[in-house]
Amino acid sequence: MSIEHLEQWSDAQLAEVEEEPYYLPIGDEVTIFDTAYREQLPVMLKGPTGVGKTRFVRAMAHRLGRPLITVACHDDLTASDLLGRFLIKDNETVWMDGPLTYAVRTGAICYLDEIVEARKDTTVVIHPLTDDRRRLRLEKTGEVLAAPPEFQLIISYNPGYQSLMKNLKPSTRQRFVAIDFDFPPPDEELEIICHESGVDRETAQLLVRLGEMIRNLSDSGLDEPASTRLLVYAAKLIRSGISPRRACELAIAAPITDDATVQEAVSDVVTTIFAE
Amino acid sequence: MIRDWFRKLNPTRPKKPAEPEQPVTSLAFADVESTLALYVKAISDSRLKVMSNTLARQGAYTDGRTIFVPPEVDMFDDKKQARLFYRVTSAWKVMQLASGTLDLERVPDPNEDREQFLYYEILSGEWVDRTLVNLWPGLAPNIELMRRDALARRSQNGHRTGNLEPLIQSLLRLPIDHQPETDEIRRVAEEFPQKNGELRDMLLATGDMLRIDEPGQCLKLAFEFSAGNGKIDESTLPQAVHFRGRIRPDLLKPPEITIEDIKTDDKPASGSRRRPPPRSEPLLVDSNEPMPMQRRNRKSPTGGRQSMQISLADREPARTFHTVPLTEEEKKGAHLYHEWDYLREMYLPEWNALRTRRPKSGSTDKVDQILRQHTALIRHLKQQFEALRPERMRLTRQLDGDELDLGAYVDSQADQMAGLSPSEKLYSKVDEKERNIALACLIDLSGSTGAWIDDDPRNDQVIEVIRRGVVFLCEALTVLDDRHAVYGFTGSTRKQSEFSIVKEFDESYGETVKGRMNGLGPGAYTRMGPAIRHAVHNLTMQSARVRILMLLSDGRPNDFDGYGGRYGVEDTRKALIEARQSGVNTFALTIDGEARDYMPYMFGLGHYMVIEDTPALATRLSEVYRRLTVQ
Ligand SMILES: Nc1ncnc2c1ncn2[C@@H]1O[C@H](COP(=O)(O)OP(=O)(O)OP(=O)(O)O)[C@@H](O)[C@H]1O
Ligand SMILES: [Mg+2]
Repeated sequence: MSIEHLEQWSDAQLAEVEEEPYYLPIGDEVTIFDTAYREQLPVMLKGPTGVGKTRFVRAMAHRLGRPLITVACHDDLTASDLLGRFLIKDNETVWMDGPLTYAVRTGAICYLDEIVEARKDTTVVIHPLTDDRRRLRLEKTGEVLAAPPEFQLIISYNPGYQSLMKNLKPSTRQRFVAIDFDFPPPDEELEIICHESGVDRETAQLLVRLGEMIRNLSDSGLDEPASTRLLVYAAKLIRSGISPRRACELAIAAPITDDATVQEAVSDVVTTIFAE
Repeated sequence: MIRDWFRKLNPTRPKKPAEPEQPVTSLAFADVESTLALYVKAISDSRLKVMSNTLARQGAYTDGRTIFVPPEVDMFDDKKQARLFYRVTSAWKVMQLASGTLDLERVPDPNEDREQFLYYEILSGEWVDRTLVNLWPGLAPNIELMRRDALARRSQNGHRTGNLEPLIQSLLRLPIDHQPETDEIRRVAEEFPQKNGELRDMLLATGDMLRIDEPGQCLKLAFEFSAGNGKIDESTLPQAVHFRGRIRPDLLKPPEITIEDIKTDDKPASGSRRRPPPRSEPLLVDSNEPMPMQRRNRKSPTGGRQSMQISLADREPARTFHTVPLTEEEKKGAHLYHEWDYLREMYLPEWNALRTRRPKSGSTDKVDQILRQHTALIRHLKQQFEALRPERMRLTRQLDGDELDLGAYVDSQADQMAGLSPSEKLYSKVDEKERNIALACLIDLSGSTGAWIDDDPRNDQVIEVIRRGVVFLCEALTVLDDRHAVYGFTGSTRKQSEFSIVKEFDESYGETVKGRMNGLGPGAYTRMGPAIRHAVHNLTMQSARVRILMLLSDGRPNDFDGYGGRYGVEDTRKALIEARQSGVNTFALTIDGEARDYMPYMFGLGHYMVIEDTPALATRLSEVYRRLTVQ
């Protein structure tokens, strides 16, 4: 299996996480993950967007020294896209492992990001991998692969305020150890912002305060509350010389809602925290 | 002139012609209410709300739960400034509470010692200004602006006498951007030569007080000043500093908010205080159940954001009635439902008698008026709902279709060459993603929906907003094929739960249904559990891919016979869990400001929405439905 093959994957990425990603543990998620890995249990990362799920996965892959395969799920992702297919090459057929198969074969970490987006008939192919036999059946080649102990399946899922039309089926959900991700507590979020953006502590402090205030509106009509990611974006803009108010408008107020009233209130909160 | 320095401090403001006699403009609270309500919610950690009250014309005040601001602001010649005034005065009140200056043990009783109270109001006001500027630096220029405006108005009015006015004015003259130096204080004192010595000493003492980041000194100093200065003449009682308003000790309840909620400093002490809880239990099940009941913990890492306070102890029912089963007479003609007794952790079988009724249909004048007055809005909602119409998308790998699926064809050729039997699914076709939804909209028709919005009879009653919301939703739904029912519920005691069928799934939205909507009015109590169970029962009779129950409510579960306590919350929660288990999705919209005390526990995060601005409920209902059902 060569890396060239991987170029055929349109929705997946393979990475050896060589440099240690910066990840600040918030609770006991690292321990839980270690336990799940040791016990060969699949893991579900649950939480809103932009709170460090992807970063966590990268950090864990690095810790374990395993390659990481990330699949961004979408509504036309088919089972073959995950498992693999025959390709015609020089009048011969070649079997090409899909990202999931490849991960099972090589004992990699496979991260299915935003699993709810995938077609329902696609989601079921992971089921046999998630019970205690940890098998993957390839109908087309007739193979049955047993996942090696190194293999780990991780899915992410945002249970927040979203359409009921694409909910994760309980039969899928109940196969995973769920680790809850939420906004980091203020002190940790401050650390993260400083580290990621290089902004001074005072500014980071104000951004944290801003984030907390905006999150109070999460049950009042925000599409998504101000995530750590957005706070980091704002910090980066500030760091590069854009005025704090403008930076927050661009990186926070505008992206989180289309509702004019909510947006006005968010802007007012920004001008409460940051002077011109 | 006031206007001149406004212009200087507010460079964005367009220059006005230099007419001194500009007409003043007036800005009504209603014009800023929806934004201000959200703003106050955000900066107070969801603990305070804002309302207008004519009593606040002399200055905003608070009872510790609600901030009362004037019904209109007409001091300024420009709406922007008036808007700013509303914002600053609200923020100031939030900080006044959060900083602890209104803690009950701190505020002197004016009936016992009026002088001490008056000094306290002035000194703590000065202290709050500085704390606010410190913690919310964005407001610093606005506070400075307001201080100067207040000062200009006061000195213009010529009030310079009495013990208090010179002190207020001198303090307002002190710089806000740094701690005043001794010589700055001396210079300010010279403005009032007749009282120079005394005033200077008071100002110097105040300067020391301002350096301390805890309000305890304000009271001490107020005590010293009042002891040293004797009685204050009624005729020299100063007006409130306009943006600070007044302290109303007679109204104060124990405050809901502390400065810890607002201040998130990085001192090591606080670091240990904010230890995060474990992220998860190593469980193999993810239940997606509502949140566990826990006390709101101010010191929790999320500042209590997602936990809640259960303040139901005072509403516990007498337990005795829970032991008597319904009589045959009471059961007659009723649907019988169990209820959950959380104390005994068991269901009480056949505990509730619920009777359905179809309200008489009559005149449709109210509904017609709603349709007339909101034609544009309804047209807009319909357009939005049209976008929900089943999306046409091309499905790949189909047995039959209008186009060859090239990808599938290549795969099958490859399969064949590999010696496999090739797939026959070689086509793609355009398909409609069918929606196939059944919605039950369940309306709380308890007596409280007869209340006037903001307790002000000039406004609508809550029930009118609900009526509007339901009409909007039904109008918008006319462009979709989603099956829907509209139910109302009320009743009193478990023997008489009432379930009104406004529109059944198979009824069309016509004159009869409109007539029933027209007749909706406030009833009695709010026994949520049984009503939810019955609506869910009806929903599960519908064959649909997605079933949704939407609850519209204005308060916590409540009924005569003890349902208002924890019992009602627990039973409602149980009913919702049952609903989910039978495949019904649940979502609630509420206008109860205290909803976060129980909503996360009953419905779970992301499954309810609190509407700060009651009139907005009317459109939010359709909006939420739209968002819950986009494909
Ligand atoms: N605990 C953490 N340690 C380090 N960085 C963090 C942490 N939490 C959040 N971040 C920052 O937040 C950003 C967003 O995190 P990430 O991309 O992992 O979000 P996510 O949860 O995967 O979101 P999505 O669901 O949108 O993919 C990261 O780039 C990082 O800067
Ligand atoms: Mg991610």
